[in-house]
Amino acid sequence: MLKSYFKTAWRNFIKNKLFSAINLIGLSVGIAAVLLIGIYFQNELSYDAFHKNKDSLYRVGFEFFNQGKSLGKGATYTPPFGPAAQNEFSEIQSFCRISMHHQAFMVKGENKIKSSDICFADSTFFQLFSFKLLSGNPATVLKQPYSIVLTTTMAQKLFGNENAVGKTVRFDGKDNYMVTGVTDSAPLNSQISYDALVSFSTLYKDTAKYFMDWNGGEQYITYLKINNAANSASLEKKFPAFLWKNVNSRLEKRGIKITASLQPLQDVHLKYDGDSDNTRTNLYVFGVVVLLILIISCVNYVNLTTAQASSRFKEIGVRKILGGLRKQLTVQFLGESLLITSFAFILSLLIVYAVAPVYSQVLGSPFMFSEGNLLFLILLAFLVILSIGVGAGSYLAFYLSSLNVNKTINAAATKSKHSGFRKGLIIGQFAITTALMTCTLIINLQLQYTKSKSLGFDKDHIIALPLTGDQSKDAAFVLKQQIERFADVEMVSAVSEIPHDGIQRNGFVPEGDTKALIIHQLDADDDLLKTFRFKMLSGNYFSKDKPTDADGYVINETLAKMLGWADPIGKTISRNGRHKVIGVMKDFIFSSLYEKIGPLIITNHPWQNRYDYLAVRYTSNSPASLVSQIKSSWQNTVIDAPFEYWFLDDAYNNLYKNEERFQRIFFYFSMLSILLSLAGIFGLVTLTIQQSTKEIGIRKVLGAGILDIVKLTTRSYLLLIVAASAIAVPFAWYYMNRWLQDFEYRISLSWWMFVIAGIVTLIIALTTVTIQTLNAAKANPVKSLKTE
Amino acid sequence: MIKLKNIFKWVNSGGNRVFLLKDINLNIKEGEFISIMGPSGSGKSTLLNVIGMLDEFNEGEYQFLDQPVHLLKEKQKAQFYKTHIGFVFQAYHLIDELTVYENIETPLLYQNVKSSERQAIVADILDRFNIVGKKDLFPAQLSGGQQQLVGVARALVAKPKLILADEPTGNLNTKQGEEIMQLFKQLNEEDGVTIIQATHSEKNAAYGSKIINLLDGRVDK
Repeated sequence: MLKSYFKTAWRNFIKNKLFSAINLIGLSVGIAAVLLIGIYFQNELSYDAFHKNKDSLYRVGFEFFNQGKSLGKGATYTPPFGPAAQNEFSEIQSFCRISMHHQAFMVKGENKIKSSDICFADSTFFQLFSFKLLSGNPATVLKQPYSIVLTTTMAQKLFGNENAVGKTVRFDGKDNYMVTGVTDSAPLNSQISYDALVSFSTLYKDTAKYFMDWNGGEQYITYLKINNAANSASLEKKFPAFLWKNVNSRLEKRGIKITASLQPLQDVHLKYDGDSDNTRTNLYVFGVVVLLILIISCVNYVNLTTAQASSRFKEIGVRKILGGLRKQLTVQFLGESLLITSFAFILSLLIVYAVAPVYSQVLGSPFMFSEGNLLFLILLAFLVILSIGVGAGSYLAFYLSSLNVNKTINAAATKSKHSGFRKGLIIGQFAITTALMTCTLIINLQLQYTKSKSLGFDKDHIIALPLTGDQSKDAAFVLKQQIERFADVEMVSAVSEIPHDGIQRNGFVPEGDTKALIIHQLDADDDLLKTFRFKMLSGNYFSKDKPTDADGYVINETLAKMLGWADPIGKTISRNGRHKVIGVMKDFIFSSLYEKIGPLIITNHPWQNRYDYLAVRYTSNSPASLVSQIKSSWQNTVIDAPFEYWFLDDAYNNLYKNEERFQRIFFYFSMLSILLSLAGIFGLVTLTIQQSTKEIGIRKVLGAGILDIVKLTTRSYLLLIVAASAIAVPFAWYYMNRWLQDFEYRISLSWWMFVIAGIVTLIIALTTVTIQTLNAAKANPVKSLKTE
Repeated sequence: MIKLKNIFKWVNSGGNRVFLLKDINLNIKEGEFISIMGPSGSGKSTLLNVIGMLDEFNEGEYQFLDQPVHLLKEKQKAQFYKTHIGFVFQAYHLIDELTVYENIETPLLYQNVKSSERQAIVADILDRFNIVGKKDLFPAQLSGGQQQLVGVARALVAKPKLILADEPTGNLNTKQGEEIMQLFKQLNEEDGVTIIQATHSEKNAAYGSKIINLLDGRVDK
């Protein structure tokens, strides 16, 4: 019996190759989309789940306040927090501090590598976390100073096939570090990643470079292992007193306060990371989009199959006459549906496999299969097959098997009308497509606007040189002079920060006020204006020709407006003394377009008389040779800090990589859904026209011209698409509005953005319909009117 | 074998009752060869469908093999007709996706006949009708006469007591039609199969033992 069903199903499939192909491919694509997103979800939601101690591990989060206003949150702070906390609180069983990523050179004989992902970690690292140590003793690998644990890739690069443990590596050209162990790289879904781990105790050895007390470098992330998760809330409540004792009591007079909180390890990625909001938004958006694609695929499947159903009426009638019971027929059609869905699943696996490498690019982050994924995948797919195969199939099965024998046998070639249900499906499908297209368009426009919005200065052709460490800071002016002499260099300026991702803030008391205001402060030398091509609105900028101005302040437009000073020149602002305003600078954007321009003061005196960056404006279009020139200057002058540089325009573009990713995703998925919808319409149109050949023949005999026939068919689709667009508009408008709210500088939504998608869909769909109809309309009516 | 008493069948069309069958009374014994004749629209096909339990009637009694058919439920009816009645249609109504062999086999599948038995029965019938060589062809590859032959073979494969044929030669040319009618006659005389055929043609009707005339849904004496 089953064999017979299978034969029928297979032969039916072959008989209608075009529709079967459209159905199959449509379904596979939909399923593949679900699978891909499923894996992404699983990866994101399972971050850090592999740690055995995950339920008792917490990261310490800090928030910094100035004059009661929050300056921001973060997880990096100074080193003493961990050990002091463990000392004070019995709930803390142990701690592990991990530094932010360091850059260093490592040399072994002929093999040299530079890595930017080296972390200093406490000796408790391998006890708290479940990273796999392949060789070495987890209790002792990170105990002694100058110990280093390499990942297998690093070990390979430095030592080839030799055993690395027990050998030494020259670190940063200075000291010899002992390789005490080799470890696996961290998995992708881990918040901690590293190329190599160096023992934390090493940092205490170099007191000239690393400041390890409460006032020291805020570059260390502290993880705590607590004896009982239930104690975390009460422990957190003890932090304020603890911090007061160690930190806040000293800083209070400067108006600064620090608070600490406990972040459960597994929640960090989705809740407490800088990226977290974005990650969550992405997950949400992804989920919705893929659901939409799946819906479109299913709609196609149901539509095409039910439209074809009438061609099986005769078969059903005959089978019933030959003794087939309704139940048997239901089983037969359900089976066919499951068969197609299973094929689609297999095809979808191939698609997923093929797309995986490119998928990483779309996601903007690495994407890999793991064994955990595979199991999840199979389960998910099973679910999907069952629900589509059974869900979509049962409609067909029940509908068909219930037909009256008499009607079906003689209704061999009846036209399947556009039933209300099917119309509804088509409208839904096109509404989704139109909405996606509109969103893609708007996202595109906003991003273009973002990138091209005038920043108020020229960000291109600027190289930023961070001056890390005392030696380079002291050498700042020497370096500046050397660099200025190079051929491609237009101007060099020493600055406290390179404005692009925000500027730090301090408290100032403007003339006439008693309370301090929080204002951004940038310190720069006399060449800032020309280097960045800022513009002055009134007054002067700092200049060697006016040494008395050096103590003054240059303020930006926004600050002038904020203070209500129509003529700010000559007014004073106080911070460690009174400073006259010598000039007003035109506003420029120094953080992302998410925020309004803030008030800014530019001073000519940096902290401790040292600048932190050199900004180099260059003229050529290929700065590679300039970079190496600067590099040799650097290496001749500065020994203890590695040469680093970045381009300002790159850094700006980087600010928007999340939005770009968003845009990419929307673009690809829109394309996908458009293609699917069109395939669906194409199939449907072809089918209905096949079934109307008789009607078309009759109309031609009665005098209809080809154009009349075309008008007839296109009219029904026209109405459907217009209805679909009407539905899509409010949804698209609502969501795009919400998304745009995040941007301080945004495009305004206008009506043509919403209409254009509908028009494009209309044109494409109508073209398809017209072409198909023309083919049918040209046929000879005599042929189409012959009875069986 | 078949007793029809006061059978009425009507449809409601816009408030009026249109009668398809009016007061049909028939007694058909086993082994008879009946021809139902009448102009188009006289209700021949309807009557055949009612007899074959493919269609319902509104009033009257119908006993098939002494079983009151009108009292049977859907499933029981299906069971009944699939074991006892075979249908032959004017338009053959073969399943296009199945081969000749599979078409003939299908009724047996629905009666859950075992695989080896099925093979034997189908082989037998193919042999008898001389179409063994065509068993793997599809209906589209056969001529009209051959297709009808397959239709008859299919109707016979479950060894029914009764064959209902609705204009079996309507789509065939003279020669093919004659062959089919001869076949029917043979089945009726040699195998004792009761045959009721609906037909326009006087010539075809002559093959039978009795003629019933229908006019506007009524038996016309």
